[in-house]
Amino acid sequence: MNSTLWRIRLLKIVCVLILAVLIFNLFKIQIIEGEEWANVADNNRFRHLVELAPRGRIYSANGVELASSVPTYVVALADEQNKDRREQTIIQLAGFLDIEPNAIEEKLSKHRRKFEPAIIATDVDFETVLQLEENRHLMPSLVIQVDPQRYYPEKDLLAHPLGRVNKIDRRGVEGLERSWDEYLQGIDGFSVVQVNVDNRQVGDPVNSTSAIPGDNLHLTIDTRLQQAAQESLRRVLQRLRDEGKANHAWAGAVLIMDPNTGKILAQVTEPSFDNNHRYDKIWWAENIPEEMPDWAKKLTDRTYQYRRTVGSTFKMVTGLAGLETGVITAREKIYAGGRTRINNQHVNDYGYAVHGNVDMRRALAVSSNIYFATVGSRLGSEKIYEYIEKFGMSRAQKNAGFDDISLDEQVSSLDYRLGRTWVGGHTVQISYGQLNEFTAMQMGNYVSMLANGGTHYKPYLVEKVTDYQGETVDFFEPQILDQQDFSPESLKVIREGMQQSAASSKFLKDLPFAVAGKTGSAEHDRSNRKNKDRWRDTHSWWVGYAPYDDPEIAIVVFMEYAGAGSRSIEVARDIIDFYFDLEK
Amino acid sequence: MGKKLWKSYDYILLLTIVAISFLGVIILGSSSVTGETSFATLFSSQTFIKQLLWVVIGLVGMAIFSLIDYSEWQRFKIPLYLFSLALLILVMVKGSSAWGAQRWLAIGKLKLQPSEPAKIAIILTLSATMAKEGRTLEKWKDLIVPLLHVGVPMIVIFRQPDLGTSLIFLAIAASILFVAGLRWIHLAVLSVAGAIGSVFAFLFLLKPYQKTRLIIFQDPWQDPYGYGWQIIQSKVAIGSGQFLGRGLFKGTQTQLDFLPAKNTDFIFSVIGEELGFMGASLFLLMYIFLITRILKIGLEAKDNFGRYICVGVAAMLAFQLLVNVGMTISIMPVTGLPLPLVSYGRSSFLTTMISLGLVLSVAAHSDTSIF
Repeated sequence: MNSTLWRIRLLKIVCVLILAVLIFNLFKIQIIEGEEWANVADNNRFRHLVELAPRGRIYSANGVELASSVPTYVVALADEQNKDRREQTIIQLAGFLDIEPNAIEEKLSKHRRKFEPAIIATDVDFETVLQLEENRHLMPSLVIQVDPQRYYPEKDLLAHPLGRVNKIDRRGVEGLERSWDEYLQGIDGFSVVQVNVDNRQVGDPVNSTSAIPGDNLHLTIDTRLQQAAQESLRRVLQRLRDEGKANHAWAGAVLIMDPNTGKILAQVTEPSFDNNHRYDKIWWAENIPEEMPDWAKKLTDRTYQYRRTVGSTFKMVTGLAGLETGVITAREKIYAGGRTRINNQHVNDYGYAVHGNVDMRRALAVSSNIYFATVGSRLGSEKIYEYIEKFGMSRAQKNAGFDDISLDEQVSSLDYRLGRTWVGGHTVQISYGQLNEFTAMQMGNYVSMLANGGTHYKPYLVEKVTDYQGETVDFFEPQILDQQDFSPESLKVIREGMQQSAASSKFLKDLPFAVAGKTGSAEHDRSNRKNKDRWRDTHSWWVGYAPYDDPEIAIVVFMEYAGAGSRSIEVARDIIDFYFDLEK
Repeated sequence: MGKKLWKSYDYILLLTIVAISFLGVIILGSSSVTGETSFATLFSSQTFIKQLLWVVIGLVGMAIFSLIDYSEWQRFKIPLYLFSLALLILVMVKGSSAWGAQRWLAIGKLKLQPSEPAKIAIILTLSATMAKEGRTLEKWKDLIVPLLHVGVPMIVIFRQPDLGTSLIFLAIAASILFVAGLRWIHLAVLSVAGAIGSVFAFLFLLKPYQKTRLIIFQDPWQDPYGYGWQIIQSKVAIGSGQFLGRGLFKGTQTQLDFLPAKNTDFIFSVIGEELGFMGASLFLLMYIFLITRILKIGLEAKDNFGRYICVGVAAMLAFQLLVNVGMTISIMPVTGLPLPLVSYGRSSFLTTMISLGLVLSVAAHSDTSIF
């Protein structure tokens, strides 16, 4: 009997041991590891939801929306921890989205941030979204997010400079979209909600901030002018090809600036494309003529990402330099006899035409290479480059200081001196616009400076930034980068020469006001046998401004491989007609 | 019922039982009401009201059993044993199943789990057998009768399959035989045999799901959304309770349904989460006090029958406490044993109350007064 009682006491001790073991383990879990487990519990119950900020819009000066933000739907799945429910949700969702359940599995397994839903499908159409909403109860972990995506309502208008937004991380990656990304982005909203095991929200969000839409850009571009210039350029190029006058005339550019401010009013590149399909091969295949060569199909903007020899449009640099330095006077005449040799370099006028004795004005009007080669040889290359720099066309300053689009997307001019032993013949050739290469943007600034008397305004595209409520965030006034003190007399001579040049064109005859302009037919280097375009038509250029007396617009027309510069004047005339509202 | 009965009635045990039961009901209420919970909203919970009702019914049942002289049960030894065995066999043939096991017997609208009352029957009948005049455990052959006595129902329950409950029978039998004077050498041999038998059973008798459930507690992360889910969520719940707990009705694991079986098998996790280390430890202390108090009554019982009953009931409660709480803190496998007096479930609650009624009867009918 004693043994019985003793054994019961032993059982009591066993009970106390059980208590000790349990409490010891509780202590370990709750006191030592407690904080960690509390974190796990919080991760269980909190979901982080993001409300994506709509990207800021881009407007033209006349209020047309060039880039907008349209809601698209993204279907995502939150972390589902119940095996059966997870499987059921995946099968259901796969059915609605018409994809393989395995594809969903794969996306879920690749998803790393467990507190955020994993994106299964983007750009889901509204129909499907409605169906999903109706059947939500079958898929407790379903999350439908609104993803505001970029849309370019004007499609191919200003497609190049607008650039592109990355669909996935929604960052601007090209053009204005990239350079102004900080403004355009906006601030995403977020909320932390408490969910139960079925992933259903319980109560109000614990913490939340609303999305702030990005700021809007207001450009200096007038879409009507842009449209008119684009249509004209496209039409003329097409006709030149159709009529067999210039078989390679596929590409070109128009730049229209306000010479009194530096505002870019139109900035056209051909061929253009629907910016909603920038890298969409199918779109390109369906919408771009099959016979268009690959070099033209590139996305390069031909106003600031492309440089070419500019031919005789350069002659005002040489002419003004000659007058300002005194190597020639306005009255001095030089004999232009069709062909000659200067500095051991053969020089001839267009079609070996004999112009006789010409002064500066006449030389500009008839575009005498012999005259400007002579002036150039008197100046020497150093002086010519000095004036290139004065006109904001130097290699050092990309596109005359245009910086609304990141400089690393811009091209600088080609300085022919680089890596070369300079000979007198080079000086002769650069005098009438060969060898060196410039961009249309540089030409725009150059002709603006001729029009406004030597003020170098920074070319600009973005005039104003407003926030989503319409309040102005930033306003950009015209900015003077440099001021040249060209003598009014010299300028007057050059301008008069340009006026005479313009007046001689059949396209510019019957205008109610005078116009200043200069053509350019840039030849290709035929001495270089490797040069693929050596036998192609010349690049056709025209630079000018209107009206002659009180310049309102400066125009640059560039048509690649389109032949004589005079062909570009047709585009210039269309622009003048449209801008000044003239009846043809 | 003489004056003496009231004098020797163990009011402290009674008070402890009542305290644990009501604490259990409140915890159960907290875990079954979703959304904002307070004492007022508790009454909107069906589970809470039902369990409250069963606590009252259970207490009445316990009182009745405590007033009946436990000695009377000795006479019904054979019919009790046969009846419960019959029920267990019946459930095998005609029972309804849940969670892959056949454990329930439907009688009209009532659902009965015969393995629960069978526990009481085995405690009573084994105690009666061992308390029989002249029975000793000197020789190996003396063990045959008691081992068969427990072994038959145990195997039937094991085949349901209900591994946990069949092991309770083993705990009950082992404790009673131990107190009844099982020789150390026999205990050692049986233990070794049991160990070998367990390994054999694990390898050849268990179904794959039982095997997985048995081992998963050691590394629940190998299947965090399947078999490991309950174990992980329970540990998260208890751990996040930290020292003082998240507060009654405020456990996020409980209230947001991350914790499965929170009303039944994992009710202790709710205690751990909402009442913290302090609350859970106090609860365990109270529970162990209850068990040692039962053993104390066993020490002071007037005869061996009463003594064995107490030991059997104490063993039953201690084993379930260890396995159930151990399961919630990942030191024991998941066997689906409820926490007596606290987990939701009629059969289990009534069984526990009646067995405690028997213990109270032993105390009331002992010779020595406790006061």
